[in-house]
Amino acid sequence: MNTMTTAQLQAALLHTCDVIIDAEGMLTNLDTIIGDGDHGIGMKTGFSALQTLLQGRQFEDAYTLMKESGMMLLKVMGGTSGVIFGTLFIGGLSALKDKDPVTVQDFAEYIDLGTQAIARRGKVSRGDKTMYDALSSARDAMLESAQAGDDVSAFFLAGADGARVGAEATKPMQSRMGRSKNFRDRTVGHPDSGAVSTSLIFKAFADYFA
Amino acid sequence: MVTNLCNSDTISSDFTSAMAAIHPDRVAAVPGSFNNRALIRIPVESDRVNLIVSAGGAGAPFPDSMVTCQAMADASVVGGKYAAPSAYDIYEAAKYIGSDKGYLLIYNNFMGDCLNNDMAAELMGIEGMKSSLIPYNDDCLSVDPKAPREERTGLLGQHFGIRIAALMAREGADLETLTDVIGRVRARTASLNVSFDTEKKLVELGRGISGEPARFVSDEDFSLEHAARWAYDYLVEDLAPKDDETLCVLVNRPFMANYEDLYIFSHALLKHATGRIPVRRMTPGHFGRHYYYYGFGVSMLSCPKDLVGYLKEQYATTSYIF
Repeated sequence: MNTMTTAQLQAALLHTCDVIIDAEGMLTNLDTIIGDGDHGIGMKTGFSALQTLLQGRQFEDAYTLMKESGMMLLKVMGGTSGVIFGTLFIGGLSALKDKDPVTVQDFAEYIDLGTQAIARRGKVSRGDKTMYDALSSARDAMLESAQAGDDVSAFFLAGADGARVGAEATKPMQSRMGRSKNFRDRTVGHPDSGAVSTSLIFKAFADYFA
Repeated sequence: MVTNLCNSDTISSDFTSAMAAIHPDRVAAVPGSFNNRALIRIPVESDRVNLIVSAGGAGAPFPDSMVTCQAMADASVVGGKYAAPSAYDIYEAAKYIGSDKGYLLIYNNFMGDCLNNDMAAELMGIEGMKSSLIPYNDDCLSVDPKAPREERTGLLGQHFGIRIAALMAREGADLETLTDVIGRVRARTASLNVSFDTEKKLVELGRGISGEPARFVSDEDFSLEHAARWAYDYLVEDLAPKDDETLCVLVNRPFMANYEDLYIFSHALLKHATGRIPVRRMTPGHFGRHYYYYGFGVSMLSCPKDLVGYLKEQYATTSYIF
């Protein structure tokens, strides 16, 4: 099966909310070492509001689901994460327009466009030690998987592996973006908290579709 | 360490509600706001350019300045705990004000603030609202001192820009003029943090507000006077004041520092300036931010001649309102 329904995507998002909310402490600890310690709180705030939005609600299509989810993150989170994770959900919406069910190819394009939108808005590139390192790595793996004709399960597993590898790769980097860059060489040896939360999102999707 | 006894999840909206309830003749919350994190100065004056100032969870003193001072920001948007305000809250504040003359969005040059103000300007633009973005980058030790100015983050220097812009907006200056003037003011502003390691008896320059390490450390003279001299010398060197400019200094007393030290430090800086480039306007006060160490924030404006008149009257956000 290489398609997913809106209801499945909504359930995967709800599972993602649980994962991110549970990870608040870990994300906060990571961000406290090399940032201002707000990442875990911000992600919990955003995904708690998203959880409330998703619970007991039916969405007409994947486009509406992702659009409303992104707008919710944008509204409630603030900080860098609000704009960036909001853009992740909203930036690639054109790939989901009138697509029901959504194929892995559609979803790969959705992630690809969202990744490009984040690069433009945040003026980030690979190696800056940000969530973009994990996201772009996931995007590459998902595009490859979609092209290979993988089913939904293998597709999201590829994305999760890509995101994990990308997040791991931020460990030896010195931060070049955001407040963490002021911690200079103290950032070396710790993964970027945004990259870790990105990998958690992709892992949550992979676990749901496994 | 500063402790908040209020609920950290709702601190910003609770604060907004409290300010609006206690000073209903001066500020209002945005009715029906999604997050309730914006305060609007009332009466709303939508027939001129309005200033929207936004800052992270520690940005509470901006609403305070709207209450204690007649001419500061027209709207203040605060973020959640430690986070920059959301783009949507900034957009909501502008929409409520409804000015057709435009908005000056003033904020410190941190990534979250930049991204959210950028996006707020986009949302406003979709509905035909004009805006200009003024990211303050006055913290001269927030990055390597040799790095380009654009990479610096902001500290407290925006108070000068807000004050001048607020007064000019009331005189009817248009958005383009204000953008140009406040851009010039920003370029002539520099700030730094001075802190004291009381255990090791060290004076530090450039420690960050989130605990980022100091840029410079001195063990030669553990005193307020030495710290004041060092701060003055560094800021003057950074700004290189021109002959026709006037030096204005703002010294912030964070929560941990006491009033006596604030005034003695400010006086020491004034004394040191005598015989050098004199400070014409010294404003010590509590202008905000949670610092987790003992010290002060010092902001210096080398004020262009044509703008000095706007800074004749002083204000300080000490919340004494009777």
